[in-house]
Parts: sequence; C-alpha cells; structure tokens
Amino acid sequence: MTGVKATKWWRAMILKLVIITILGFAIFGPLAGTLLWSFAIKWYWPSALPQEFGLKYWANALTGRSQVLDALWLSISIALIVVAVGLLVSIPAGYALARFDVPWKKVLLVLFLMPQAFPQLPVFINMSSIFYRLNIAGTVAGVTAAHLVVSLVYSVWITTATFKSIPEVLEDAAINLGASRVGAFFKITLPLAAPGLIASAIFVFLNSLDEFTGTFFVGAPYIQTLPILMYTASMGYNMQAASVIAIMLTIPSLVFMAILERFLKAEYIRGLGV
Amino acid sequence: MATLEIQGLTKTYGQLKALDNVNLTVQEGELMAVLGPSGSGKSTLVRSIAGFVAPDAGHILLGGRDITFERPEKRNTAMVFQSYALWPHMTVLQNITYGLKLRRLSPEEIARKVEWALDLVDLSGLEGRYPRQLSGGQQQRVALARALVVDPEILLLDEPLSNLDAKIRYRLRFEIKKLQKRLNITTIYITHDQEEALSIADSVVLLKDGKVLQAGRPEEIYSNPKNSFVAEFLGASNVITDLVLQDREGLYVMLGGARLPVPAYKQPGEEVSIVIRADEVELGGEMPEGDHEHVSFSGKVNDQMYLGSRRRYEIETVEGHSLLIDSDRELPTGSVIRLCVDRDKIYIY
Repeated sequence: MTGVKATKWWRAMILKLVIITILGFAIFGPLAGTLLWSFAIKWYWPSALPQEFGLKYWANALTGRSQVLDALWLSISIALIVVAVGLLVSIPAGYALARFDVPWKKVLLVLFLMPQAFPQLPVFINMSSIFYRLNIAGTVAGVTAAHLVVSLVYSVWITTATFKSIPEVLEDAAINLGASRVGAFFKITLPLAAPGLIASAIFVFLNSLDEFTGTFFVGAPYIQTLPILMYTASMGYNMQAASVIAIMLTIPSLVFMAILERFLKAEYIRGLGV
Repeated sequence: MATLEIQGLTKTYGQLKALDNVNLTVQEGELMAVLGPSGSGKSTLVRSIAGFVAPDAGHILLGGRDITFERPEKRNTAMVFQSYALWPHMTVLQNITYGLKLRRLSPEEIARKVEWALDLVDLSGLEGRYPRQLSGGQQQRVALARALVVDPEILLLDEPLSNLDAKIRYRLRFEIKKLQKRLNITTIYITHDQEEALSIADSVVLLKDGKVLQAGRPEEIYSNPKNSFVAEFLGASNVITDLVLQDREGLYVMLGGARLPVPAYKQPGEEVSIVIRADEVELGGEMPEGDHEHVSFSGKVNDQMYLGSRRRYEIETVEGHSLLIDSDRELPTGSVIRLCVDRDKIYIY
C-alpha cells in the first residue's frame, strides 16, 4: 500500500518539476539570453556561455554621442508628444462619450476601432503611402500620427470608462452650489478621473515607446527610434547591441507597470470606499 | 428664505408625463413633503426646481423671481442628494467650504460660516476626515451642512434619509425638522415614506404619475384622503373592492353583514372601494344601542401574527373579504367576533 502511494507521489512531483522547468525556460530563457548577450564580447557557437564577458557594448550605447542615446531621446520625445496629443483628444472625447448622448456614438467608437480590426501590415503600408502624399512620411509628425492611430482607441476607451465611473451627481452637486459646468469639471471630475487618466497615459507612453511596425513603414529610414535601431542591429547580427537596446526598452515598461499597478489599486480602493 | 410658487409645471419624456400641470405653493419657512411612489415625478419636480431639468411648460417662482429658465448655478437653491454626492477627494472641511469659495467670501467670513455649519450639524472635530471615513449618518450631516452653509433661499432634500438604517433615520428626521424650524428655511422634502412625510412636514403633497393627487396639512390629508390610492399610500392596509347595490333607501355596499352607504356619484353595479386602516377597528367591541357614529360588523379570525406590542389578525367577513386588523386583545383563531369602527374611519370611494 505504502509503496503504491510513494510511487504516485513521486510521479506527481516529477510532473510538477517538469512543468515548472518548461515554464521557467519559456519565461526567463529569452530574458536570460538577452541579458547574457548584452554582457558578451565573444560568444561563438556551440559554447553554452560567452567566451569573453565585458561592458563594451553597454559603454558604446551609453557614452559619448551614441546612436542608441539619440534614438532613446527621440523615442521618449515621440512618446511624450503622443501622450500629450492623446490626452488632449481623449479627455474631451471620453467625457462627451461618457456623459452626453453623442449622435453616431456607436459609429464613432467603431471608427476608432477600425485600424485594430485589420492586420497591422496593410494598415501601415496604406498609411505610409498616404503620408508620402501628405509629405509627412519620414517626419516626427508622421510617426506621431501613426502611433496615435494605434493608441487612441485604447486611451479613448479607458477615458470613457473612467468618466463613466464618476457619478454625474457629483458634478450636479457642485453646479447646485454655484459652480459653472467647466468649473465643476476641473474641480470635481478631473481630479477624480486622474488615476484612470494617468493609467491611460502610461499605457499610451509604453505603447509608443515599443511601437515598431508603424514607425518602420512611416518613418524609415529618417526616424530612428529605439525599436527601429534594435531591429537594424539584430538584422546586422550585432546581437550585443540589439540586446542592450532590448534591455533599455524593458526598463521603462517595468517601472511604469509598477506605477500603473499602484494607481489602478488606488482607483479600485476609491471605488469601494465611496 | 423665500416663497416658492410652481405654476402649471409640465415635463414629458417621450410618452411619459413626468410632471403633469403641477401647481404648488410653499410658504416662507414652510417644510413641504412631496410624497409619492417611485416614478411619480417627485425627483423630476425637485430637479426642475434646482435647474437640472428644463420643464416643457409652466413657471417656477422663487421669492417672486421667475427662475424657470435660469441656470442652475445662479438659482441659490441648495440640494441634498439621495446619495449625498459628497466629493470623495475632499475632506469634510473642503466639501463644506467649496460653495463659499465660489461666492468669493473673505477667508474670515468663510471660517466663521464653516464653524457655524459644523456646529449646526454637530460635526465639529471631523473637519479633516474624508467622506469614506464617516458613517452614513455623518455623511448625511455633511451634505446638510454643505447645503445650508451657502445660505440658500430654498433647501431641497431628495430622499435624504432613504440610505440610512431605520434607527438613525428616525432620529435624523427630528433633527432635520428642528434645524429647519430654527433656520426658518423654506424646504421641499422628497420622500416615498408616508410616515416620514406625515411626521416631518407642515404640508404634504401626494404625487402620482406626475399629477398632484392631494395637498394639505398632514392631519387633513391623513383623515380625509381623497381617493383609495391616497388612503392606501398613507398606510391603510385594507382596500376592499365590491359592487354597489341599490334598494329603496339608496346606494349601499355590504361589509360583514353591515350596510354601508355609498356616495351618490356611484352607479349601482359599479365597483366601489372600501378602505379601512388596520389600527382603527376595535375587535370584539359591542356597539351601544342607537349609536350612529359607529359601524358594527362581524367576521371570523382566520389567522394571527404576534408583533410584540400587539397582534395582527386576519379577519374574514361573510362576504368573503379578508381584512387585516391590529389589536392588543388576545383572540383564538377560528372565533367569530364583532368588529366596531368609527363611521368617519371607513372610506368609501
């Protein structure tokens, strides 16, 4: 009896170990490989580990007038412009969609969704041909527009949901006590919507920072954002440079994800407390 | 403080008449309760006074000034919302101060008024708290203070106590009434609770389907309900429907073997409603000879329920009607008894 039980226990244990190992490799394998590559000077097949470690590629990327730093600042600048324009559009749009009976509301929302409904490649190829005619292909404006097309749908939807979650009666109460509609919006609704708006802004920022396809078709070869540079590096078999860029792209995502989680939690708690 | 006059107010939403030619006058310093079931238009009424609903027809006059189409922020009405609508990102102090800041008062005056308001609703010491840190009753007081501190011409209370539990509701009811009398502020109090309306108000208006069914002092409206709906809404538990009969002496209807006269506007064979309140019937009482002020009829105790201070009996009359009657007497189920009720306390419509 005990023998049978022991065998069963071992079988379950081995199965668990196998599954955990596979999952571990799937999640951490590529990350570990990238990390190793970024610190490698020489790594020839079939060796399991690099033959020579060093900080040469990190130094190249981070010091002097490096292409990587230029691309990083460009990426961040574009992402910030996309966030600013995105908020300027999605705050009024989201508020209107949440509060008023906007005519053609469904059509509008579907229109926003349109670019997401088709495969990205044809959408961006078409966009690039349109942008060439408009003379904004290969410019920061063109790339910003491409990024907005991708992120606006999310930011408008998140913003609409955020404004919808704030009871209209809170604005009524302010107006009843003498506030104008605009005053009530800025003093009551906007502060209450802040967590949702920040979440949406972070989402848009990260989306723009990592965006590749649109930037490639609309901006190449003049606009060299970080993902484009990483693509070029890995195409040229410069795995070290590509890995360094990959890690640099991961860091803001991780930081903002942590912030995002805090804000979403705060909003959640507020929702419960009111 | 001002007199509020509402003249022919009408508001239609599609097919639905939310307000149908409503005429009301609330005197200066009067507390008027607007009573009605949900969907009766009482919220539309109070929201159109506050300016959140634009009426299709009619006028609203506050202190003689026509405010029908004035912007809500210019009206100087102060509303306490059913959900209190306290701003969750502001402290109690910030909530109360907001309206004063909009009026551009000096800091000293703001401080003085806020202190007065906090003292008025007994909230001193809680200024720094956020609404979520307060109990329901305390939140209600903050909403009241926030409304009163701006010195409004009229106070609008939209079901202010309906989110509180019974015990606090009962206590706050008296506090609101005391406060209102002390400040002598014209007040409209929306409620669906008849007991609340009767106990708190100087006058009661009963609304149904956007129409004023009856208006008057609480005692008046309670003792002389105009129709069976008003009577039932004001807490009568027995509404019996039967057919009008006729003999040489006129129209009548039978209840428990007793003959009840029916108003002359009815037709023989028409349906008639008999309304009797559960606590206005004496069980087992014998009527003195020649008493014309009471009606005596008989019934059988079908069932009973113990309610603590009294018992509730289900009585069946010979006509097959079932009546709920409250009494402190103890009677065995199945017994046949006499019931005695004041003629004025039987309402026939």
